Amino acid sequence: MAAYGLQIFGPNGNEIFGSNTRQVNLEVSASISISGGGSQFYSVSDANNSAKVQLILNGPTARLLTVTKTSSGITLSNSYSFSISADVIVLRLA
Amino acid sequence: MTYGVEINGSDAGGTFVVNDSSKNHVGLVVVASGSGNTVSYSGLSSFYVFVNAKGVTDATGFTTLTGASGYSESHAKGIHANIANGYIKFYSSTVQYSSSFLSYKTTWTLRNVDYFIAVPASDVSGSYILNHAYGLQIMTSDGRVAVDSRRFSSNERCEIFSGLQVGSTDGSILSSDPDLYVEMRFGTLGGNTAYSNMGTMSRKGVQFGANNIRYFGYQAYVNVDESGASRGGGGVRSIHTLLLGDLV
Repeated sequence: MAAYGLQIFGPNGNEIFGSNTRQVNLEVSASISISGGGSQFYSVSDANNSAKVQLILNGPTARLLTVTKTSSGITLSNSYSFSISADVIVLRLA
Repeated sequence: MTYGVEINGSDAGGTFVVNDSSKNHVGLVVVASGSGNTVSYSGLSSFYVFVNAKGVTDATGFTTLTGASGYSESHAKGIHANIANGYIKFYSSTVQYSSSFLSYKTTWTLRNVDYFIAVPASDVSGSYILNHAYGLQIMTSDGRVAVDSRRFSSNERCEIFSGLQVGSTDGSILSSDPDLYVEMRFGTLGGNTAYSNMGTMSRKGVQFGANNIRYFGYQAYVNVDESGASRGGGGVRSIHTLLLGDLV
């Protein structure tokens, strides 16, 4: 039992949520299409720290996007002349 | 923050965010885990399937085929998930070639693997919600469930780690820890199960070896021109991010 904070226990008594359990949170979930030469920014703190934030990109041409991560967010850039579609998921790990 | 709930935590690894309603965080909830080859996802609109198949037959290694001109070609064995009609099924696959059809096919074999299913709290529904009217619930500003104690029905939670980014090449190592789980909702493909004339066959999956976990993606094809039929192939980049995870 923690000395302070929040705790939630599962049906068999396991601590499953609380201020001393690391949780995975969905922070961004979007299907996007970026036109040629365009970009999309997502405000995500500590985005350049892979221990805290994970970016998932899905799509046949998603790998063509240039990903720039900073401490304040994620920018997806399309340097091509055609549109690129992708599913974007940002998970907060810590 | 000007409103809502912010929960911060700490452990030996440092401080971390547990949930922040001002950021519209929606927690991932483990709704099922175990070992098997078939799992129902009935009622779940959005989910992640994590798999570990260390030690499972045909979860690693290669099938070697001999081409018409005597050259040798290798096709990775491995594990993929097939998600359809309310069920997630886990298979290994091996490749065969037919000179009659001038084509490749794969044979899928159901395999028992270790798995867990994680779902955004907002998408947990039906029998996955405990049937009582008390507890703690946090909502996001756009009306989604961020946290709900009634949705912690499995007694387990998960952690997620870096994996392979989209566009990774055939053979890329996901992890040198063979006990981790790999997300397979996206990014695996078993290949054609029947010969088709002149077919091109792409396969994508994950190999679980004794010492590491790796992505495989390979395309095999047959060409026919004036000189006759020839076979070829090459690596296929991943079109999905592949994540690693583990139960805690």
